[in-house]
Amino acid sequence: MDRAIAGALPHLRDAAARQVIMASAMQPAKADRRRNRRTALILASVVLVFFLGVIARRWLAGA
Amino acid sequence: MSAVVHTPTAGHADHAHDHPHGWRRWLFATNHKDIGTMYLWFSLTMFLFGGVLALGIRMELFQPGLQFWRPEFFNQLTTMHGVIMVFGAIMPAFVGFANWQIPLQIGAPDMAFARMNNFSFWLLPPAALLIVISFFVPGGATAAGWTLYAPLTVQMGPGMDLAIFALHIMGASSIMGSINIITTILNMRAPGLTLMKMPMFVWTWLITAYLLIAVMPVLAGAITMTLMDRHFGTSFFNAAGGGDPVMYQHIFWFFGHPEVYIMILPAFGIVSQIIPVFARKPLFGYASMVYATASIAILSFIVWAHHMFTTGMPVTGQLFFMYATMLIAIPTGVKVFNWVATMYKGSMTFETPMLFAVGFIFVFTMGGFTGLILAMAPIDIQLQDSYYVVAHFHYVLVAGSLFALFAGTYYWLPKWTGHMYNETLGKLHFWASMVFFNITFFPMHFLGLAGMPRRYADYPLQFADFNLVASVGAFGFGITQLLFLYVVVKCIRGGPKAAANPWGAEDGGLEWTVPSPAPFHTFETPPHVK
Repeated sequence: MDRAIAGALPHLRDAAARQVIMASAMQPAKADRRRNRRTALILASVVLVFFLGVIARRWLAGA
Repeated sequence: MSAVVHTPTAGHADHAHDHPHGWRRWLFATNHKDIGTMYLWFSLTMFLFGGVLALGIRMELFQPGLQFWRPEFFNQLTTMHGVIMVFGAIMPAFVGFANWQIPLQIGAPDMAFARMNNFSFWLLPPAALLIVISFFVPGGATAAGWTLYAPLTVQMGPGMDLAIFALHIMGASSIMGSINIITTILNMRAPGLTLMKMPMFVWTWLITAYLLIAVMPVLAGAITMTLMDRHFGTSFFNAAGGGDPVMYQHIFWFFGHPEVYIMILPAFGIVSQIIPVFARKPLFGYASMVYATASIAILSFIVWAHHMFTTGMPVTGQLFFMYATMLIAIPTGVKVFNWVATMYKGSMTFETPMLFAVGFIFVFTMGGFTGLILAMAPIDIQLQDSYYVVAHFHYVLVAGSLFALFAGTYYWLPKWTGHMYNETLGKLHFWASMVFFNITFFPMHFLGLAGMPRRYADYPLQFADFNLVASVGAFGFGITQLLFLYVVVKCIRGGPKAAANPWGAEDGGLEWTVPSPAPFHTFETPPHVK
């Protein structure tokens, strides 16, 4: 059973058996996804600050 | 680690088949195990390539005089050997281990950002290609040393630009990998698995990922400024335009010294996993191990200028960096003491993972001691850029990082492949590696003490004997690694079936609760940890 079809037609989920059930179980919950995204954005902003900071520091120091 | 009290779906061998097949499985891989496997094969390929470059170096140094290479090409070999081994072999290998083991050890179904994980890996092959191509552009690959010091970097040909782009790409890959690892560990641990119950490998990677987040952008900034100096008329590091080449060294080593710990902390984690299992005792001083790892990481930010004692700095500066560097010996000593205390009165057996772990402690400690010697400013000023330094960092990175990688591979190979490797060949690999490693690098201490500088294609007759011994050892070490490749391939293709917990690890981690080989999907429902 194709997973996309099973997703669009919920009554076919059972026929798709574990492929679909498992795929949905592997997906983190919406709240978890939001929490993951927030952690990633905080870390990415730290990266950006360090990257731009080290260049800006030298730029402003007039090197 | 605490016991697992409930693992409702800890492995489903029955639907292990549920994954894409053919090239799509790898190109579009989002499964942490597949991506981990790709990282490991990539790093092994780069390790062999970097190893061939190292043999090119040792061929030339086999006897005095110029035998095979022009001096410029020799410098390209030393530079690219360093770049490839650091950024292409060791770092991706540990990321491969992280991909395979972290979700399994914390009871997570996968990494937090599966698609970003795929992207992180697939950035690496183009970067490796840039490095290889750089050998064939006019002027050849960059020959400025893996540290890419100014003003050499401003003077190099287009090979330098390719190296900068390659480092940018590899750096981006590392940063994305780190974000993924931190998010996974912080947000996706199984219920009950508190931070202070995590396996040491997970702990060391969490701290390593923070180090990467902090220092990789600094390297990216430094090489971006180098690129601007080369092509956009700025003079950040170009003394001819009023720039400061020594400032590049400060910025580079602010990245470079933590980078050393990025390559060694996960190794500490692997060894901390293996020793308790084969000593059949819990890890001695778990909490102190965690705090020691964090201390090493924090201290690594305030010691960078010990690489620069000869550039000229105030005596107070020398004293600060000297004592700060020596401080690192304390948490490192705590770790070594804890490993030895774990083994003390243990019911020890010496399978290949344990041999490499014990070998790691022995040779890494030697590298640590020579590091202490180099930390002393008056001695360092004599030994700077000599073969003593080459010996020191190879004792730390080959016998440290690489031996731990071998230990971890033999330890988890049954879990990854479902087969036991050939123990006899594994032990042969260990002993041959240990002997040839020491034949290669131990004489370099004497060469350095006698004053032989590194990064020269030729040398006076007085250094001939030790160089000959080192070259013989290097070829032995290189050939020995083909044995490792054979053992791994043989294990993948077949062998005795591995049990779910082949080492009988009583407190080894959640990975031993799933079957071997680990099913394609694990921990769809999180296990509960007591």
